[in-house]
Amino acid sequence: MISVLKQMRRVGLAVVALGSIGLSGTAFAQNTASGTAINNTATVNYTVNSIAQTPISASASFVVDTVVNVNVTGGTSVNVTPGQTAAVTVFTVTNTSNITSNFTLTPTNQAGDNFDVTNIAVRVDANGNGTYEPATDTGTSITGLARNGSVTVFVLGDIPVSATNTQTAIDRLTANAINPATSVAWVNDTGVDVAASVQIVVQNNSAFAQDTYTVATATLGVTKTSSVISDPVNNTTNPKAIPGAVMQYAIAIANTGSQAATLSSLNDPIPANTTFLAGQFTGATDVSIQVGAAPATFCVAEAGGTDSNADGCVRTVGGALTVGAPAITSVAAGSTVTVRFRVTIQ
Amino acid sequence: MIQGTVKFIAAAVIACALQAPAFAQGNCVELKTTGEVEKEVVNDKGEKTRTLVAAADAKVIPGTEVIWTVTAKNTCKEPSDKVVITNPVPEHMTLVPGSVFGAGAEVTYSVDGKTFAPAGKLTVTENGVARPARAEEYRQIRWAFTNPIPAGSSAFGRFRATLN
Repeated sequence: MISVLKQMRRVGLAVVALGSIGLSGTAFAQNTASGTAINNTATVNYTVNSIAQTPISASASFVVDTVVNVNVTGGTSVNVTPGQTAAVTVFTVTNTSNITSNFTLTPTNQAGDNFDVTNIAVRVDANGNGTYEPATDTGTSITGLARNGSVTVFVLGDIPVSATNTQTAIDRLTANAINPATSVAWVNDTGVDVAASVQIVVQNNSAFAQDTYTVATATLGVTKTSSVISDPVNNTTNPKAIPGAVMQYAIAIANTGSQAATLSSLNDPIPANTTFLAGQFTGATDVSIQVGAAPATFCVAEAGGTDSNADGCVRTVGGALTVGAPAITSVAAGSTVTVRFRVTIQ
Repeated sequence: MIQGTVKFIAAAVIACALQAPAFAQGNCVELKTTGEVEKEVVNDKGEKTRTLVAAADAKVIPGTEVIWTVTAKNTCKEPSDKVVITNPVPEHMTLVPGSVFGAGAEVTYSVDGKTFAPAGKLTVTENGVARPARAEEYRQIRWAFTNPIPAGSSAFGRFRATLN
């Protein structure tokens, strides 16, 4: 080697040869395994007095040392509802070391958000299907993850009932690399390298990523308006609400939340001193149902409490109008459903 | 050694005429390969400097660049001519683009170990389409020294490669 260095100086190329060389912290996609022997063999062919000589080979080798690295990815947002238990956020832990490692996993609530989840816990995806299955995915740490191997990790949390629409909770998963041989964190070999033996270089013993729980809930507002359609004197020209007049009631259910609301049924008592007026809508139907600006659909509200045609509309014995499935099943986020019916003033 | 060679040549010419290449007995060239990594050290003035340490005595992990030097020394009294050093890039390593050096040598490369060509002249076929080979795809380096190596002198080639 000394002779080579001398030559480098002689040809004035020492600087060129030494420039910009160094350890790179880049984690390569293909991590050559710790302990791999790297061999370099060169061969020289030459002639002496124009006679080809036996080719000569020379080799040098070294052994790849251990590097410890871990990477955690998250960055996703999951929609949750207030009161939901064991809401799942998903992370991926990758062993970017060049050796098999164990990892401890720590889930934590983060600051800078609107609320904290409770009962925060971590589970390892045991069967690698990416879906949290409580009966299967019970592990809380990673054992024996091969170099370049990845595993999905779930962080679970309960959403407080007090959380409101669009509020967020940030959770973090931290993974720490553990030496399987010692069951404690990997330790840097600080001394000089020992030829032909594998030393440990700890680059990133720990890594984390964050996910977000976003509350997505329905926010319903109901407004009821009335208008006069006709009266016995003026008919439909500027009708007044006098006895015998036909009134139309419009019940608007607006969902200003970010998740659809499932409606079991809408129940509206027929106002006092009025009589439900049947057959007022297209096809002699009794109720008009309009979703947003779409064309209205219609249903028949049978008197007597029995929805004989099973269209979801019926009038109860007590005199209330009930509209449910299949006429109305849900109100989509950002949408308004309007139910209209008519009465006669007594 | 020289005498032996001369005798051998005479014998070859007489006995074998135009037969297969004749080889000398014993080697005139001593070949040596070294792998080193650069290490930052603090000298006695407290300054950071860089020094080379043998790769076997250094911590080499994926991403580390290793400087490989192959030196051919002529140990005979006759010049060695048509000196060609061939060095495959070691398995698990990738050639660092632009890192190959060899004073007085024509440097060629090979992707397949058969066809050697200067940098930029090699092609690889990918999905049926030929394109220029990238330096990282060179798997062999060849230094063909233009001039004979005089008796007692050396020539060397050098390249850097990154551990995958």
